[in-house]
Amino acid sequence: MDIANELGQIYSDALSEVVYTVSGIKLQVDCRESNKDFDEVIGVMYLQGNKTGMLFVTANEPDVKILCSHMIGTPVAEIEADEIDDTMCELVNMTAGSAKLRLSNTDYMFSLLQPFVIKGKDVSIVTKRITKVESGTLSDGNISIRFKVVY
Amino acid sequence: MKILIVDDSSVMRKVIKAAADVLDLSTEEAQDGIEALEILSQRYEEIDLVLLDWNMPGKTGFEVLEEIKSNDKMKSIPVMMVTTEGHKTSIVAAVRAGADNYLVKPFTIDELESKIVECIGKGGGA
Repeated sequence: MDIANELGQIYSDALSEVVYTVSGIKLQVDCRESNKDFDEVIGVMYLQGNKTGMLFVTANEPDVKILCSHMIGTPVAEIEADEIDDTMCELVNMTAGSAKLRLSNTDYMFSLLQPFVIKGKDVSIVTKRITKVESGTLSDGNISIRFKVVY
Repeated sequence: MKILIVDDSSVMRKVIKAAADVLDLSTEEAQDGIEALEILSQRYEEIDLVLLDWNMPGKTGFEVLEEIKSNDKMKSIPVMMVTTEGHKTSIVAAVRAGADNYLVKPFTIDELESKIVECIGKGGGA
């Protein structure tokens, strides 16, 4: 199997599996444009290995609140700012961990580093020296989560 | 029985605490390895199980595990690694360092509860 051609599917599968396991929310591939009216929360992780890359997992703040509410059982209105950040850090962390397992014994195997969060409205991420980009949007019709992996 | 939850994520600490509540176990929380070791060094006799994240700023969960298992007063406390590090080499390294159990994130609440019960059974010597 040519792993390079499968990367998008591997990260997409990892993200949807993680979200389903921690929240019970079943996401599917969605091609609609994301809503730019809300603050975006982006979980980021460096992928350090033979192929160095970065993984970005993005959702609008209201969607992160819904996800967090499902995870910890707290009503959406009571979700606090630090819990929004933590949710996206954990989401990118678990997605990377799950993808790492799927990429064992390939050139794309990597070490897990500390995730971090970028927040803002209509954020653009510009990365240089990109050789490969895979991205996708997953949704259950209620919440929408995007991923982008660059090498 | 009391569980020490060590994770830099407040969300993960809440998820784990919810499982402990279902099992009627009391909990204490540490947001990093240094705080966890402070709690354990002062009150190790009160802690029946440590649930330890691996990737944390400051001291990693693996370093904390090594310190717990090399300390005569703390080493009998069961430690379960709760981490995204699901690769075989990480699991083997943790077990060699003395981890009593290992749970890979993401997990369901049922899986977590079952692992906690497993650990307490082992460590409690019931």
